[in-house]
Amino acid sequence: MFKKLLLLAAACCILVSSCAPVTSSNVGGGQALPQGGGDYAFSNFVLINNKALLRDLQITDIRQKMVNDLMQVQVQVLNKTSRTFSIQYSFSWFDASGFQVVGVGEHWIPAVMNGNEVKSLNGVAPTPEATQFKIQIRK
Amino acid sequence: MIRNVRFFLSVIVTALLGLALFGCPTTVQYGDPGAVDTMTLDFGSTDLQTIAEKMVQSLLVSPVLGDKRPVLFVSQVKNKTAEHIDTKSITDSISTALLKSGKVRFTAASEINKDLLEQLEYQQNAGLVNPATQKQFGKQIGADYMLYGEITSINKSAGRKKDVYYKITLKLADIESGIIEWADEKEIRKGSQKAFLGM
Repeated sequence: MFKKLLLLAAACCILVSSCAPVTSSNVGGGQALPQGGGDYAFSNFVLINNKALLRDLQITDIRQKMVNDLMQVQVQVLNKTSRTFSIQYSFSWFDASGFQVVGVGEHWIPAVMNGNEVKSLNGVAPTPEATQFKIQIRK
Repeated sequence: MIRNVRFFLSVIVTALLGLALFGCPTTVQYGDPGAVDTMTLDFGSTDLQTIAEKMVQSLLVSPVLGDKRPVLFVSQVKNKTAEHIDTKSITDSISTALLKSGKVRFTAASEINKDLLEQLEYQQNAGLVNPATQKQFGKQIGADYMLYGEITSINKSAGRKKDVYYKITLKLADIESGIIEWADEKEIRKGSQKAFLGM
């Protein structure tokens, strides 16, 4: 009887805890990548809000060019581990005055990073007014 | 002593049961429409947004656009998957993003041809519209290109594992010459596994 009561109590605890609100890890107060390279100070363009990601990912290259008057950006990301994991990224675009240029909503795009893989994350500005960009990466 | 413990445990169990049954009121909260949607394997908002973004990016940097600001006619993406997908929503997202770029123009004929015609007939025939502002028949601009495509899927399941693969193909054809000037495809693969012990 005593054991049954204990088991029932444990089951109730699980039921109660399953109704607890789920906390999400939205970007906010993110941490910029501290290390740059090449001609770019990567921290000006890349925002990674997760310490584990900062440890596991490395931005190896950022390139930009103009195509049809629109800024095209390519950010190369290296998975420094042998593990496969998922990331999400989102480009934001800004005009020359620093005002955000919004396309059709801003959304997160999922990407799978295989072990030791280098992946290119590509973005194209929504309008010719966009002359600056920022990419946010999260788990 | 044992009787006291049993009584105490009974009270706790009753309280926890009460919490479990009545302690979880429905709460409503706003979410981020751009957040990644992993609720189910079905075609979701993230798939729609990813497909639209990749297709728009590919078309915007295509040489076929250049500085010409061509006029496009959009044909709704065909759904060749086994599930219900609102392909008009995909088509709308793509055409809206393309239009906002300022690099293309769209003819409304594909969507509201009947309404346009009715409005023209009203202006011409109702006798209510100032002749100086009446719009004339035969002045619409003919589209240069037609944008069309389809979405297909392959579904597989084995035991507790499920896998779904979507492929969307879009093409841009020159209406006069019939030549396909641009085409691209985007693939999405999603998988799920049922937990062995799930609630």
